[in-house]
Amino acid sequence: MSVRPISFNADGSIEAVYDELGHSGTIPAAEIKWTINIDGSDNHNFIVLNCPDGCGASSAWPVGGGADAPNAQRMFVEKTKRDGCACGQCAPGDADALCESHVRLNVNRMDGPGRWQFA
Amino acid sequence: MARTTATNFTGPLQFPYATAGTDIFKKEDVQILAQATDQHDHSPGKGLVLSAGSIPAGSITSAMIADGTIVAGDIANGAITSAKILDGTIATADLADNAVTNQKLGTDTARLNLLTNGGFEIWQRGNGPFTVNGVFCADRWQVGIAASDTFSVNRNTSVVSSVGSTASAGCTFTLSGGAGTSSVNQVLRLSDNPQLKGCTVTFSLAVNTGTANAVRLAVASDGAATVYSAFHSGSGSFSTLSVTATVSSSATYVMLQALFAASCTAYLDNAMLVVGSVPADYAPLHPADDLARCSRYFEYLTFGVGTEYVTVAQASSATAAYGPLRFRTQKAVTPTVSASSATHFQCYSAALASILCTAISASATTPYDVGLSFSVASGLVAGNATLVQAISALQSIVAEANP
Repeated sequence: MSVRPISFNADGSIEAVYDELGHSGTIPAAEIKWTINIDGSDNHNFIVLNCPDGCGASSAWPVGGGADAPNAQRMFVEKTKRDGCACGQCAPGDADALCESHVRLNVNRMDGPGRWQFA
Repeated sequence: MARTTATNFTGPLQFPYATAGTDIFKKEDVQILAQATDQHDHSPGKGLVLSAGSIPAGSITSAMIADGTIVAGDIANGAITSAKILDGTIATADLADNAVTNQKLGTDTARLNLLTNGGFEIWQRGNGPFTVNGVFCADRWQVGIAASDTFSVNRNTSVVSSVGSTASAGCTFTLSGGAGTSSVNQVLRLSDNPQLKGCTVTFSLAVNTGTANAVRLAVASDGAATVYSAFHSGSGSFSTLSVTATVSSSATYVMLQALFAASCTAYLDNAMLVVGSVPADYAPLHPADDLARCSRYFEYLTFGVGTEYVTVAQASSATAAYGPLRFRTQKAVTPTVSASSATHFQCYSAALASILCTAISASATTPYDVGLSFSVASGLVAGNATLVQAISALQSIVAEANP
């Protein structure tokens, strides 16, 4: 019932579905965005996905994983590797392990140890 | 040899012995002997006491035993069988305290169901059909599709396992390479429910299919081998399958599965997961409790169009406002929050004029609430409050947290 990633493409885009309305499509990497805090800054704990169908629906994914931990956590890792983290702890092109560790730390902070499901 | 007297007869019946030819013999000896014989009944002074060997085996009948004279010491240990006890006569006081184990309980002993939506009564995501791998169908029940198998799961209201059940999961399954691993399943993450670690649990589910050896149950986890039930017989009627397993102390999840090993149509209803080795008959929850459990993982928020406010937000500029929305039920983890199109919502200006939303998004989500941001083209006043209202029947805000 969310706009959710189901597979990841080499160019950083994701294939997404919106089950509620049966919509699906590709979300370009540039459209996989951090949510915006009330002060206008990016929030590395959330990514917003707009339905690729253009229906106007959107889902805000928490770094913990929300409705689909394995795919959501992977989405955060892929974005952090590609764009760096909104908090500045990781830069674009940083080692994969560093980016994954940072995301995992944020997962643990949000939902506690044991939540990490991205293998 | 001198004359002597009988030892087993006493008093007037104590006849003498004349055991040698020289012993005197009196006619009275015969008279006493005749009386002793006449009154001989093995009572004291009237002959030898009756020994056990004198009584033929199996000849003592109930009538020969005085009522109320058999004592506990007369009965061998472990000799009284169920058939010797009148049905319905064992009273509570006959049982030692803390002595009745789970194994001795009947399946109709009501016990706490550890599953969410075990009755397949709540379908917040709709009636289906649900055909995609990984999708949830009934609340908390997930479709797992292996290889090229196909599944179609929907809410069925005509084939149910009990009089009070309003729905079952109707499953149309086609086997194609999945080798019996496709399933409708419910996963319990032990980060969400850690007290199951180390417990022996029994999973039961009412299954109806006309295909033999097509559907069986399994308890799978990452800490122990998967345990399976027997297959449904294919009788075409509901039969409750069950399987018992012990959850490893190191497990991170327990998956309760209805596994499909052959193409079939099957109906699933009334699942139970209980602690202990005996399955429990399905016991429905109060509907409020049933929904509350489901809402811990999925909450579908809709608002009366034009009659109900989503939230009161604070405008930060002419085009943006932020407002909180508290969930009705705390979530298991921080949820994904999805909103339908922004055009389904409106804000109110300072003069209470309607201003259509152009974007809506969620941030600052916690298991308890979400901060929503609303964008409009213009018309808000920074610092003012604005009422947010739904204006379309298609509107929804959904929080989904799957641990």
